[in-house]
Amino acid sequence: MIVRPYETHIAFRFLLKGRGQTVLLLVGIAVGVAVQFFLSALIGGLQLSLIERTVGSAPHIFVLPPDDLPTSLLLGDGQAVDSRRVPYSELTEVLSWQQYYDFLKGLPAVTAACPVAGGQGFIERGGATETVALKGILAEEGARIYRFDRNLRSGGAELGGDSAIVGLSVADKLRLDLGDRFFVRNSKGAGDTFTVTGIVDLGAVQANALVFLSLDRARSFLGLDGVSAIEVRVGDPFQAEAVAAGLRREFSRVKFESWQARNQELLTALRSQSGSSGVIQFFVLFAISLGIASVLGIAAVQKSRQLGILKAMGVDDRGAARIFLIQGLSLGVGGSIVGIGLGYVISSAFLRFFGTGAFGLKLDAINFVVPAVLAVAGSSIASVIPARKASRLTPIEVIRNG
Amino acid sequence: MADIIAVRGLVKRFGDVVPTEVLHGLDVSFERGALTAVIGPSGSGKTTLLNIVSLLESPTSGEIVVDGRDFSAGDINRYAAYRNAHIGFIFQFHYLLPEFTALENILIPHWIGRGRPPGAVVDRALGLMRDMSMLPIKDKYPNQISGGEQQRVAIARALVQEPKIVFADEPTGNLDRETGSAVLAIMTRMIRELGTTLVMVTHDREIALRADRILELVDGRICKSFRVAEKGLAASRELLEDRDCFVDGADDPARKA
Repeated sequence: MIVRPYETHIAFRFLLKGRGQTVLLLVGIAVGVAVQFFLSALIGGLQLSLIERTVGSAPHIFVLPPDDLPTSLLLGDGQAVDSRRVPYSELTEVLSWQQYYDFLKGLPAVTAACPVAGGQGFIERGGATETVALKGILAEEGARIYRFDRNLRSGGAELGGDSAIVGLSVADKLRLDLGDRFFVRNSKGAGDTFTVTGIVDLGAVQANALVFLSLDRARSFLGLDGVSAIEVRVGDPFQAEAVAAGLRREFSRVKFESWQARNQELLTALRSQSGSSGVIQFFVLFAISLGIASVLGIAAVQKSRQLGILKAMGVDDRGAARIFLIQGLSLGVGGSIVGIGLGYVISSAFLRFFGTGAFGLKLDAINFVVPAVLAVAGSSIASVIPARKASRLTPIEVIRNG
Repeated sequence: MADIIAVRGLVKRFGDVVPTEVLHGLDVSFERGALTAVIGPSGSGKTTLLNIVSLLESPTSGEIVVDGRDFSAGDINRYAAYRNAHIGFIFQFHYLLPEFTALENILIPHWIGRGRPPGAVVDRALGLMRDMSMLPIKDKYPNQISGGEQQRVAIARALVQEPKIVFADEPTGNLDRETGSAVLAIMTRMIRELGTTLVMVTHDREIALRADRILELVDGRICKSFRVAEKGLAASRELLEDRDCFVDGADDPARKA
């Protein structure tokens, strides 16, 4: 489309001189863009923080013992049912974990892998008993999965001997501090004593009920021959399910569970949140486009006399149409620029006055670009109606009807 | 003088359901450099004739040649560039663009045809304004100047591209008599100075008598056609008063052919 100079000359003058109307349209588009920007930045930020809370300081893939296998209740030929026998085999350990561990460590997608020995424990302190989840880890690998580098509140990340890194809520409830010793009983009743060498805040309630021990000490304390799981972190959390699927094809004796599979509800909620925000954004855009179409449509009718003489003087049908298309396009561009600025101001103000610090705004380029592109497209499409009107007008009908 | 516009067998019908024929096979020509007044009662087809020869409206049938180029067929949108370069328009209403100043309005035809006007064209526009005593209002907007001034701006706008032909439809119809007379004087003076052809529709006989030639249409046919200078003003006035038709020998298409 070659735009001839007079088209922009006239279009811009129409916009400039129809000041009230232009300002109204610009404000309309700007508010629309700002709302879209704000919504997507807010929801994006919220989703990021929810996902971060879920996977930020947690494993992405769990390598677990296979599901319980059904076993026959019949003992043999003509024999009766053995009522003492449970109807499935209980395998709560990954015995040949070294093989998986070595393999996982070799995968480029995997950033950390750690065998863990998990089990329930009961801390007895000052007459109170607190149930905790014990987790034996390799100090270095585990620190990478649970991000001790940034989550450690006090103490160190080293584990060994009787040292323990306790979750924040355990420390709070039992008033444990660095150097404190505590007594733990396992589910079979055996007890042992550990020393707090670190306190960690993992952000989520469940995670903060963990007590980390060294892998060797946990295995012997919990009576495990193998490990109860291997926990894995990958570079891109959203690739976890794909990586898990690949691992499933490789190994069939163990189970690979991604965080996505464990958090279906969260992901569904996020998806429907995105969906509803999309619907809101669509209708905002739709309403703005209608507004532009009607205002520019009225302008085209108001200016039909001028358009008539312009056409007599040599403006052809395309030129007349483009005078209005350029107006729509310019309104879209101008409104988008103002709208993004406005959106940024609204978002910052929102964070300042209502923000709890729990989550921030997601200020990605896409949050700027998408509403802007949509607004420009919407206002251009909206100006097609007045453009057609201007294009169809003949100079004669104006001259004839005065 | 050669004809700049030649029309043969011009027919114009309006309406599809109940067609009304406004022009019934008109043969007419306009001389280069002359001022021709087209008069006639309302409904006689004079404005329709003007619209067709000024390439604003397509004829139902007939042949139109303007300055040696055939414009008989095709839609008027295709003639936009030609109108811009060679034809000037002055209508009863000025139709100035209210968003532009007087000077900017005069420059609009140049914008349309050739883009941003260079200094020489701006100077030409200012020269036209000076000749029509409009320099003081050059930066005023149409709603800030009088009706007579608005129409003078429209005249300057019609002339700025130095067109071959100017078409005027009741150019003073919207002005009071005194202002109208002054505007008309300026218009005819400018057009004569530039040697431009003028075809002007008017219902006012006194205005018509200022032209070189008068053409009267009645019911879509030529009723009168003569040259004012040849007949003299008094005789011309009498001819106009006369109810009978009179076509001067020189304009008789049968004799011309």
